[in-house]
Amino acid sequence: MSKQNHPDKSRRNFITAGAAVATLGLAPGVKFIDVANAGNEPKAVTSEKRWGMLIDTNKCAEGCNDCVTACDKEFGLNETVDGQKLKSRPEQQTHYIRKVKLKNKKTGHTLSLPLLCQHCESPPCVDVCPTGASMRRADGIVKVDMHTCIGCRYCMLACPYKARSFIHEPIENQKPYAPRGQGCVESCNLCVHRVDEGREPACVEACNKSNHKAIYFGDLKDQNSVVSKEMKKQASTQLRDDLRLNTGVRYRGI
Amino acid sequence: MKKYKLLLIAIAVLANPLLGMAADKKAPEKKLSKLVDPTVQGENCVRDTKDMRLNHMNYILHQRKETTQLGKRWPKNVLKNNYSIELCINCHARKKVDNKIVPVSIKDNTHFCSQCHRKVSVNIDCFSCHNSKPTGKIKFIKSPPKTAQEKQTK
Amino acid sequence: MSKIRYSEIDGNSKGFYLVLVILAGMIGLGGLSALYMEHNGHWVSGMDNQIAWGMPHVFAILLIVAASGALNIASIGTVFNKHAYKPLARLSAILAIALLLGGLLVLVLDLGRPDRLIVAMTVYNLTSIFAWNILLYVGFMGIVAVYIWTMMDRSVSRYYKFMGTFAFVWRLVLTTGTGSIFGFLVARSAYDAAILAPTFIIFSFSIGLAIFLLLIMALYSGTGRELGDALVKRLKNLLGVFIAASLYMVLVFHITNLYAAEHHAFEKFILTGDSIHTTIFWIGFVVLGGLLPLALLYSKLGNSRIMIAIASVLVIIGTASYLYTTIIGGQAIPLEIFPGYEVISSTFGDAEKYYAYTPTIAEILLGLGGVGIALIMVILACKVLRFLPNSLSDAVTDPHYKATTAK
Ligand code: HEC
Ligand code: HEC
Ligand code: HEC
Repeated sequence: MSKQNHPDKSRRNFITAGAAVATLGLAPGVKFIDVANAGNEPKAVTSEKRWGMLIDTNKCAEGCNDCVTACDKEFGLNETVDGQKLKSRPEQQTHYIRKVKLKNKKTGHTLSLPLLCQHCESPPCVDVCPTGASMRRADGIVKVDMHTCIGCRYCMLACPYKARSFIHEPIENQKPYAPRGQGCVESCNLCVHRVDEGREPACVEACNKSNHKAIYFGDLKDQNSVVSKEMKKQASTQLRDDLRLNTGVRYRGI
Repeated sequence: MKKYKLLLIAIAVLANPLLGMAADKKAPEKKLSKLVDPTVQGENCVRDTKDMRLNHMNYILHQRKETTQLGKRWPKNVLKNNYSIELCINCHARKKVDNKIVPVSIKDNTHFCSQCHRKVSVNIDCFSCHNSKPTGKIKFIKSPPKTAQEKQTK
Repeated sequence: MSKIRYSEIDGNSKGFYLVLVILAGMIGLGGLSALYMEHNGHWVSGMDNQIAWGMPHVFAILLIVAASGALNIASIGTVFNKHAYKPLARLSAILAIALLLGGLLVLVLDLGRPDRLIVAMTVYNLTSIFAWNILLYVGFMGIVAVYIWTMMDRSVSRYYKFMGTFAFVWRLVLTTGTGSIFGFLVARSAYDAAILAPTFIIFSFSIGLAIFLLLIMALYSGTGRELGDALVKRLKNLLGVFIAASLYMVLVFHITNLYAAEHHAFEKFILTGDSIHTTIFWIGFVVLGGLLPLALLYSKLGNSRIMIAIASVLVIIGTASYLYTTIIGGQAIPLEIFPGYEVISSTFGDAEKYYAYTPTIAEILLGLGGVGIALIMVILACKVLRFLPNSLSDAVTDPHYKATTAK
């Protein structure tokens, strides 16, 4: 187990050398084998981008749960296998995104909004994680690297938004693009697998499909992206802005 | 002093099988059933088969780190040197039963990854999260396509 | 003052084996519950996504806090040169190691993936206070082990004072670290307070001493060795001071919280709410764990060993109650995510008044397993090595003892 967690700066070189040896010594019949991933190596994400969202609570319809259902479906959350019942109690089940209905204490004005991981710039969950499994990618996506998560749940205590869930039971039939398993903490990862392919997150897609169009998604650093333009138009708020986390998800209308 | 000596002997005795286990982890020479999806044509893996046999763990674990930490995602339609688990499973976890091609789960003793690992007593936990059955969405009928470079050298 | 002689305990009486069997039973049950939770997943526990840390964490932190406190006796002897405490130093140090190990085991076995412990030991995220704690714990065990060595081996005894001081400083840092696990959680109004670290230190003083007192009284009456009244009296008076100090720290914590509007919800919940936490706080911590043992120790009753033992047990109950209301109570109120708004409904429990938590048997047994490990380690250590002074009679421990029999 320890091998996979060593910092592997030199691994590339090692593999290169290993591959050369293997090619020469073990497989004389093979014509040419290119080295490690050379040739088709994709680019790493950079901090030139920052993925983010703007959620317009004026457009978010009360009683509509489409973003939540879409998310559950995308990741196969709380799905049952072969008609078996879920063992986890409702409080133990996973929520990447949830719908919340609010009432202004002074004016009585009510509104509803989806609440998900806020993808902070300085995320408390990342600061507290003992193994570095809770991580922030260079492009601003906060997620759990389940390969190093030991399931201590400290990040769940640290998150100001209760965005994290713990997987309380064994899971089968995971989506191939979204592996998840018992004993790790998980949370919204802004649908990395989609975003890396140039698609938008499942919740955004669902919201647009239901014609509410309450979620704008895009690159916050790109002045011409839809989110940036919308943010310029009207004031927006960060949840718990007293904590100065510089969230990547902003709200309009609260 | 006697107590310490006893302790040392005890440690040595306990450690012995562990050391033995660590030393014995080479892929078995004997051929195992390959369990490659019968619809897959060609004879090579995503990389030279012999090399894969010896070094697949290094390649997978390397790509895993690149993908999860740095966001490098190898497109799923490129097979050559792509070590995504999803791909391994798609080629390696189907078998023919009564002329029908069925997916093989890790619970099945004949699963490609586990039948060999069991022989060399390697324990991997990957499939507690990664689906061990092909999902059928991506299906490959050809062996890995050759790179342009390769075609030239031919 | 006569020279102190140490010897192994005989450990061949029926009582001794009975104790061992009981402890082994506790450990076995604890191990089984860990396996049970591991195999099924944590859905079989009372914990969920709102109360992510439950009973195992109360036990684990109790043991860890007690561990650093147990070392105090040795520190008083070594660092502050109080002769009466010196004979107790060995036992105090081994107890510290044992308690820490028990606590850590509980913590580790409750992880979602304990099989990945090796990851926790090899990959550190240095901004994490939790990672620092892992280093502190491992360091503590090493340092105290060397400290014991300097006490037991004449050839290295010149490092005794240095190691004692080092261990003392380390333990203060360690408990600060444990307190900061919670103190650094800015998101939760229950935890976001620097005073939690010193509070944990005071609690470590009192519970460490209480456990130590119980242990020597049990060991000395069990082995028929002499334990002088003067020593017991000293220790019990010290315990009283620590109990009062812990009450004071908690009082200050709540008073400062009452000044900050953001903490009002939590204060209302703990101090005047209708949940179990309010009961545990007032009855468990304030009355049973604070006022009652103070009364027992400082009244005439305090001359009786039974009463001192009862007071010590009460201190353990009190500390456990405090940790329960802090750890679980702190997670039980919903987070204040939308200031100025009232949550009417939510698909994930934000509208709840507070979250209920019922620990399952497995969690409690796991925690008791840790206690069992700690105790069995101490007892076995006393059997194989010379940890216990032959006698702790007043003649041995009291520098002012002037009986005619003293040499
Ligand atoms: C395009 C389909 C395909 C994909 C994708 C694929 N393999 Fe293979 N693999 C093969 C074929 C074909 C063979 C050769 C079988 C033979 O020699 O009969 C093979 C052989 C192997 C062998 C050697 C088996 C032996 O007994 O000699 C290993 C090990 C292996 N693959 C591992 C992997 C791993 C790990 C992955 C994922 C990173 C993977 N494969 C992905 C098709 C594939
Ligand atoms: C031909 C035998 C063989 C097959 C088939 C095989 N492996 Fe392996 N695998 C090994 C051996 C041998 C090791 C141990 C190497 C070592 O520890 O040095 C190993 C180790 C690994 C490791 C690293 C384990 C660790 O903790 O270091 C991973 C990951 C892995 N294999 C994944 C796979 C996957 C996924 C498949 C199925 C697609 C697979 N293997 C199929 C022989 C095989
Ligand atoms: C606790 C759950 C978990 C376990 C156990 C686990 N993985 Fe993963 N793995 C994930 C998740 C989640 C992702 C997706 C990360 C992402 O998309 O950013 C992933 C992604 C990957 C990827 C990159 C995605 C791809 O398909 O190219 C590889 C490679 C990988 N894992 C290999 C492994 C190997 C090898 C093991 C066993 C040694 C393993 N994983 C065990 C959860 C897990």
